[in-house]
Order: sequence, then C-alpha cells, then structure tokens
Amino acid sequence: MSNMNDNNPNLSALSGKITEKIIKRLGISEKDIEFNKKAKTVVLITPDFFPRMSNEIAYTTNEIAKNLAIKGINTHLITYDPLKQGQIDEVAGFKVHYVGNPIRTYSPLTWSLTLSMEISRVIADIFHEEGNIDLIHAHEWLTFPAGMHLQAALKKPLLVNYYSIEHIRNPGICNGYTEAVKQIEWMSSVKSKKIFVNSDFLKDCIKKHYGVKENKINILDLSAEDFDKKIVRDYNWVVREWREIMEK
Amino acid sequence: MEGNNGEVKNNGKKEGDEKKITVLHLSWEYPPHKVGGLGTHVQNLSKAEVEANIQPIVLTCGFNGNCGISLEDGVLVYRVDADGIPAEDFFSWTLQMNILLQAASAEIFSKYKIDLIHAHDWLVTTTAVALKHIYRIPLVATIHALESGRYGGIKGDRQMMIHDLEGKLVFEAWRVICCSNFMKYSVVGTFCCPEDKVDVIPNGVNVSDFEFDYNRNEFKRKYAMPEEKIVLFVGRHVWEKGLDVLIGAIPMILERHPEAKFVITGDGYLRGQCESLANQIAPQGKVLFTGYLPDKELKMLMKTADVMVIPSRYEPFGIVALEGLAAKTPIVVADTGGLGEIVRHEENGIKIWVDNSESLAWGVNYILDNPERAKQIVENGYKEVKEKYSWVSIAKQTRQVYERILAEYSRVNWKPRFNFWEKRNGVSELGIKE
Repeated sequence: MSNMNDNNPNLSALSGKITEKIIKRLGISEKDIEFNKKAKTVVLITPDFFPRMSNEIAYTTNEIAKNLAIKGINTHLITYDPLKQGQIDEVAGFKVHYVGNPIRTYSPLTWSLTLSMEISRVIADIFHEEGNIDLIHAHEWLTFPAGMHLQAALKKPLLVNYYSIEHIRNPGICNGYTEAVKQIEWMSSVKSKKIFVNSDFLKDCIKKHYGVKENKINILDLSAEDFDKKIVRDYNWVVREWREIMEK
Repeated sequence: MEGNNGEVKNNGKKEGDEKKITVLHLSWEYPPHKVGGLGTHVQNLSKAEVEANIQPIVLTCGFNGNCGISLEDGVLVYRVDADGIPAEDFFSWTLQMNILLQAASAEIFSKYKIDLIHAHDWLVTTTAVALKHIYRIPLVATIHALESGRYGGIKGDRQMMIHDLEGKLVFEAWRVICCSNFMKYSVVGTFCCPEDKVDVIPNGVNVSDFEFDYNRNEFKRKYAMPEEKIVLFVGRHVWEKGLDVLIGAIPMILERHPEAKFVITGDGYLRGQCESLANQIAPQGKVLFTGYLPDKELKMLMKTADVMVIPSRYEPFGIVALEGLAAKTPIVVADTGGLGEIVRHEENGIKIWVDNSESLAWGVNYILDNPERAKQIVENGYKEVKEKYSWVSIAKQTRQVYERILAEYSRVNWKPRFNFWEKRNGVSELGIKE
C-alpha cells in the first residue's frame, strides 16, 4: 500500500487528509501523538544494585533510574538480591524489584540462564499490572538472556549496556564457557536497538569483536552535564524508531 | 457413559461440542532426534491428540540441519537449530538451547492462540516458566523421571541444578502428569507437591507397530541357532537398568536351560564391564551384545525372543514392558516403579525381586519350563495392552486434564491484561503441506 501511495501523489495527499480528519474528530492533539512516541515506562535489569553490591553497574543503573524518575518517567529496576527477593522498594522515585534464583547453579553462565525466568516473571507482572512497557534496558551479559526473551515476547525494544566483554575479561581463552558468553553478548548486540558502553575503548572492542556499526553504540558519560537529557533523548529515539517499525 | 448411537459421551456432551484446544508441547527430544523414550512419547501423544480434537504444536530441537517448521501427521513441529551451541557441558548447553526455544516461541505465540503449555521434563523448565508468566496461560508438566531416582540420590552440583529445575517445574505447573503411581509419589515426596495436583496417565504403545509379517526362522538365524531360546534384554547399559543383575543370572539359567541364548541390545557406560563379566561367566557364544539396533530390527527381535527380561532397579514407567506385551513375548520384570504396576504376577507377566539374580533366573526358567503357561500370560498381556495402553486412550485422558485446567483457569483472575496480538490463526489456516 505504501508503495502505491508513494507513486501516486494524489492518493498520498488524500490519505493524509483522511488521517487529519480522523485525528480531529477523535480530539487527538499533535502533542498526544508525540507523547505516544516517548518512553513512559522503562524497565532496567541489572545483576548488581545497592545495598547488595556497590560497583560500577549498581552506580550507573542507580543514576539512570534516578534521572528518569526526575523526568517523570515511570521507572522499574529489576535486580538480584536473594535476601530481599519478592520485595519492591521505592527509591528516589523509582521502584526496585528484587528477585532471587530458586535454582542452585554451578557457574555464572548457568546462574544467568536460570535467573532469566525469574526476571521474565517479574517484568511480565509489571507489564500486565501497568498496561505497558515502552523499553527494556539490560545491563551486563548476565541479564541479556532475559532481555532478549522479553523483547521477542512482549515485542518491546531492548537496549543493552556493556561494562566489559568476554574478550577483555578472558583474553585468548577459548573454551565452552567463554564461547557461550561471547555468543550471548554477540546475540544481544544484534538484537538490541542501541548499545551503551562506558568508554571509547569498549566501543572499539565491541565494534571489532561483534561487528557492530559505530552509530549503534553510544557512550554513556555519567559525569556529563546533560547526561539526563541525553539518555531520555536516546530512549525516545529508540521508542519512536521501534513504533515506526511495528506500525509498518 | 456411551449412548445408544455411541455419540454421547462425557455426561451428555456431544463429541462435536468439544472445543478445540491448542497446546504447545515443549520437549528437547522429538524424532528423528531420540536419546531416551521422551521423544517417542511426545510424538505418539501429540499424534493421538489430533484425534482427540487437540491441536498440538511441538517446539523442539533440530540437529544436523533438520530444523524449521513442518506439519507431521497433523502436528505442527518447530525445530530450532541446535547445532553448534557453545557450552561448558550438556547441562549449560540445555539452558543455552532454551534461548533458541524462547525466540521461536515468540514467533509461535504471535501466530497462534495457545491455550496451554505442556512441558516435558526439566530440560525446558526455563522456557516453560517464562512463557507461563509472560502470556499468563496455564502450564502442564509431565515428569518422566527424577534426577534423584536416576542416580540413586543427588550427588553433585550439576545434579543439584537439575533437581532444582525439576522442583521449579512441578511448583509452577497447574497440574503435573506422571506415568505411574510410583512416579506420582516420588514427585509428591521429593518436592512436597500436593497429592491432588498430580494425575497419573500411563505411557502407551502402538500395537499396530508390531503387527507385520516376517520370516521368524530366517530372522532368528541372525542372532541364535534354530534350537536356541532367545532371552532378550532391551535397554541402556546403565546402573538403573540392572543389566549386571541379568549377567549374574546367566549361569543359573544355563544350568537348567543350556539352549538359552542371551541377546543384549542397547549401549551405555557399563557396557565394557558387563561384556567382560559375561565373557568370564558364560560359555563363548552364549551372550551377544548387539549395540543399538534400528527400530524395525528391534521390533522383529522382540517378536522373535522367547522371553524378555527387564531387571531394572529404577523404572518410572517401563515402556519396554508394554513393547514386550505388544510383541506377544513373555516378560520377566523386576517389581519396581512403574513395572510393578503394569505387571500382575503370573497374569500378564512374571515379577521378580529387585536387584536379585537368583529371582531373575527363577523367572526366566519358569517361562522356559512352562511354555503353555507362558502362552496364556502373553494372551492376557496382549489383550490388556491393546485396551489400556493405546495412545488414543492416553490422549483422551490427557484432554480431560487439559479441560479441567481450562475450566479452573476460566474462573480465576490471573489472565493477560491485554490481547497481545490481534490476528492469531488456527494451524489449519497456515497452509503448510505435509
């Protein structure tokens, strides 16, 4: 249909007029249309968060969630904490959902792959309770399996945040474990709409090892003055792009 | 229950009134990929479900390039490409394979309205549980065996993980299906699962698969001399199958029946040990290890054998016993697990004590000593297997479980808040040709 409209300017103008009339009749303002293309409910998934862990991942996710909440975005953060599993805390305007892993595992890989069903359960509950999720932002490869499944099932865009990659953590080592982690990292880089990293060095590594295009990777600089604006702008861009793809 | 014209069933419900139920089966095995009996079970069940007004969709693994979508006897089969998944070991491979199942399931759910998810064993737990919560539809689990039973306890971290995955599947399932009362009480006892949450539906066998003509005498010559009596063992050469119990019984059987010939099919980690033990205690040429045999060859061998022995230590069901009965061969089974429930002593088979070579030798000698009695036992067994263990009957029982769950589900508030996808077709509308 779109090809037909493109070829025929009269038809294209006519469909535009019809759309305008419908919008007018329904009382939808242009502001509403733009608002619908913005991220309103965001889910962050992180393996580490305060108080259980205090590291770069916990700090970054906290900063993002805090700033999103200030901007009025409904933000949920899902994290692992066996002592607080099942609890939902309200921290600085955003909600923190704690999950545990009911499966006793023997490696980070099996831990990540079994934890993913618990993460999926909690995010699915948010989806059903709140009515929608606009975007899923997964931090570090341990949460990527859950992120990928939710993206496919809920049909929502996925963003991934790398803090390191397996090629850096275990350089030159090639065994079943490292290859499995590399595959998860690579699959996520392909399936995500945008990738965030913390340095130029990591950006180059991802480009080199996973063949990702430069414009798909953004450097997240928490110290930048307009950090909050940038992250919201990136989120909105992803949501807009995703909606356009889904509408097509 | 059945009316005059045979149409009215299930308390006045007409057969045509039955709602079509669409079920997503999750199983890592599905023919042609077979490791144990799981794949065959899922294949036979799903094929029979088509007859019971159920639309089965099977999500499974494909190997050696055999992946994609196909319609096989009315069953829509999705095979994900499971070749070349990097992993630390088989257990983490299984979990990695679930990532692929999850990706494929999203495609299935976007096309079809699924009423129920039916998961088979721990290998698909992560996908099954996640799907249940994402789409908010009921999950049914069939527990075919337990890790604690397979190895006589939980002895390492890998086994612990499997044990926990089994427990999680049982916990999350709306209802659990087990193939025997033995398995039911194993699940209830191991996972503190409520007794009334578990249904017992036996495994089945296609009797028609054993109804074919062949030249018995000519075939027998491949495995034994014409005057010899074949004592057949079918199973994996692992501890729980008790092959060593049979090897221990060989001298006692040969003492009374020197014409006995022991044919041992299958393979496993105990093969080497069992072979060397058999060479030490039995005269040369009296014990034959064949390895795995093709399906048809194995069926012919079952029909040709004079007695089949199943000396298992742990057997959740024992489908091989049903195959023996369908092949009209007398069976001697250890009184354990599901085997003890299938066989009634001297009615449709011979029961022996578990892990006891003397008892096994007695059972085999009894059958070889009393051919007329054996014939009667075989007739009883064949009649029973035809009536009670047909896949059609099993699919009907499974449908009753599905119906019960859907009726309960319709009364609860736990439902998807939104209609995820506007257009979901029935499988028949897909247009895939067999």
